[in-house]
Amino acid sequence: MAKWRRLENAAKIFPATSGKRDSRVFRFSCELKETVKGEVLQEALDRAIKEMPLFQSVLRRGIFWFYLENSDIRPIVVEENRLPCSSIYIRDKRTLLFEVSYFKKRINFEVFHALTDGTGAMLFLKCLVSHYLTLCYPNVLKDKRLVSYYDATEEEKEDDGFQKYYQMIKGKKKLEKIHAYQLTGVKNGEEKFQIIEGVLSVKSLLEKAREQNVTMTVYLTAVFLCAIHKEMSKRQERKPVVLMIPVNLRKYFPSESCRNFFGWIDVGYRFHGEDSFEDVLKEVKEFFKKELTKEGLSMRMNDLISLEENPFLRVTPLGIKNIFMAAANRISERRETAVFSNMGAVNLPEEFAPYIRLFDVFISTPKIELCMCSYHDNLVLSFSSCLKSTNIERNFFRHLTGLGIEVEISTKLYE
Amino acid sequence: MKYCEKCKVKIRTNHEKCPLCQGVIQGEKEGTEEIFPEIKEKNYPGVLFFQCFTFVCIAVGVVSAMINYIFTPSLQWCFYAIAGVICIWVCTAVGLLKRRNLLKNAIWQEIVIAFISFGWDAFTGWHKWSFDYVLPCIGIVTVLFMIVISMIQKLKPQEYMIYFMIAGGLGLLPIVFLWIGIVKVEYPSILCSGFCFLFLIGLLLFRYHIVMTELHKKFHI
Ligand SMILES: [Zn+2]
Repeated sequence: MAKWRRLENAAKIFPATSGKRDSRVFRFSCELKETVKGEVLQEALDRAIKEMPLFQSVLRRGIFWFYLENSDIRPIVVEENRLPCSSIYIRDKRTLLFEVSYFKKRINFEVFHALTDGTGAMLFLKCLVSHYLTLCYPNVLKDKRLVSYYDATEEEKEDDGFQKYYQMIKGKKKLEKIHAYQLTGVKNGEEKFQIIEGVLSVKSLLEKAREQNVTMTVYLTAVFLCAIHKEMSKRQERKPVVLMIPVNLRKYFPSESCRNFFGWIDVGYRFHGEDSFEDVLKEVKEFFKKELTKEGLSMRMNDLISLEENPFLRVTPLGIKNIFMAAANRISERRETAVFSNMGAVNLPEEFAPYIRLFDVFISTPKIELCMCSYHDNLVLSFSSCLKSTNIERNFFRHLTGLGIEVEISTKLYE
Repeated sequence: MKYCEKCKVKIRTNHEKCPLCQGVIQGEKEGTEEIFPEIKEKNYPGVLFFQCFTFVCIAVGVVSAMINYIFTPSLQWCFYAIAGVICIWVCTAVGLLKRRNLLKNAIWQEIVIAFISFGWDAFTGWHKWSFDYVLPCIGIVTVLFMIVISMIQKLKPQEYMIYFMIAGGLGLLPIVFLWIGIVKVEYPSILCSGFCFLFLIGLLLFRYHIVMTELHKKFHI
């Protein structure tokens, strides 16, 4: 009998709200220094899926909720043939919720958000890349053995972090209602997410951030806020610019789960004409200090769970529930202008370093979203956007190059 | 690699203009490198088929109305033609919408056909033939269809069990209608419900564990 599991708390929203506007798919890529060999990648994938069978699941509909069911569908490596982040989950079709593809030097791992979050996906890609490199270069690892740096039992991997920590959280504070400034403009079209990514040196950026006595995340948040502000008219300044910043909850609430376990904070700034970059930076820094605490994060987690625990919602049939959840999602989207997601630094055994150039990540979005990820000294900042305009991206990267940082741009634009 | 003077960025992918500011860029095509493949717009043949089919349906309705009013203005037969076309369109649309899962499709078709036949029965004198014959027939046919499909497609229990149970359950409705007194011709209803009852008992008896897990899965709150 196939094993099954409930969708964890944060994941419940994804199948209900995925569609052509926002496919809820994100991609992690690893760029090697040599061209990827398809057959070897398939072999590596077969090994990786054996190590993390949790990913071999299909999404199914119950009467009240979606659920994940283990399957024996073999994942097949393909040469990239879909638009980046276009839908993976197809209604009524029993297919896997991820896809591994390759193009030239890149190995792509695309996954539907209901299955896992960034941390889980990164674990899988790391596992895949390690297997691929050990297959390609059998002598690369000194002790000839691929150490599984993911030390957790099957049960721990399947943990639902939200349920685990729900008990601990007490006290109810409502989130205040904010109407953030919303970007408008001509769109690229359904399932077309424009990607603009810049590669730069971690060291050079870190230097600039240290000069201001802030972390890289705080620094880039401020740059992003200012990049958006430049496109706003005086009238639009009445609304604050708010960036949603997803947070990996594993760092605050110990968990080995490779399913969804993330929270977020909203960082906002109300511009009044001539705010200097330093003003913004100062306020963002304060904001991070205030919001990024265990208490602040658990409050949001609590909010999310209490919605799920609502007895009326629980016994509402799935079809109707999906309509409610989609509506709630639209409303909560008004709280944010854009999203900035920091995946942090990728670490792999040093022996692999000569073969890997960089890791990058981006996600489908109904707005504009910046994802960042670094490997050794290569920092990749990827914008995905549903809008045709490239002004915000231009402002953002010009700010960085203005500081004397070298940036290399690659894109996927639509006619 | 190319370079934009204004943005001061190197550009790796091949562009005529700067992808950020749309300005003039320097550098040669040499050394540029794509990181995404060129992907052609996909054409879905199903969409065109459905558009054609819908157009034909509407055309049949309109033409029959035209013929009706020109040649036989005293008889109002075109409404039946239009209603017939609408029914065919609905069945086809449901079939296409649920094409990826034949068992789910069968359940939907059973329900749609039942309601269509109730409708026709009600508007053509309410002789109850929909309850007497149609409902028991589609009840049995659906169950048989499902058994055949799951054998051909070699489906696993978790793929077919819930639909077997729904189809079996729907097959018990005729006996309920008989008991209420709607049904006039008894033997089709008795045959259908008896068959479906045995079918359900068989599932429970021989596949008890699977039935229970499946119910638990589908009904978890
Ligand atoms: Zn430029």
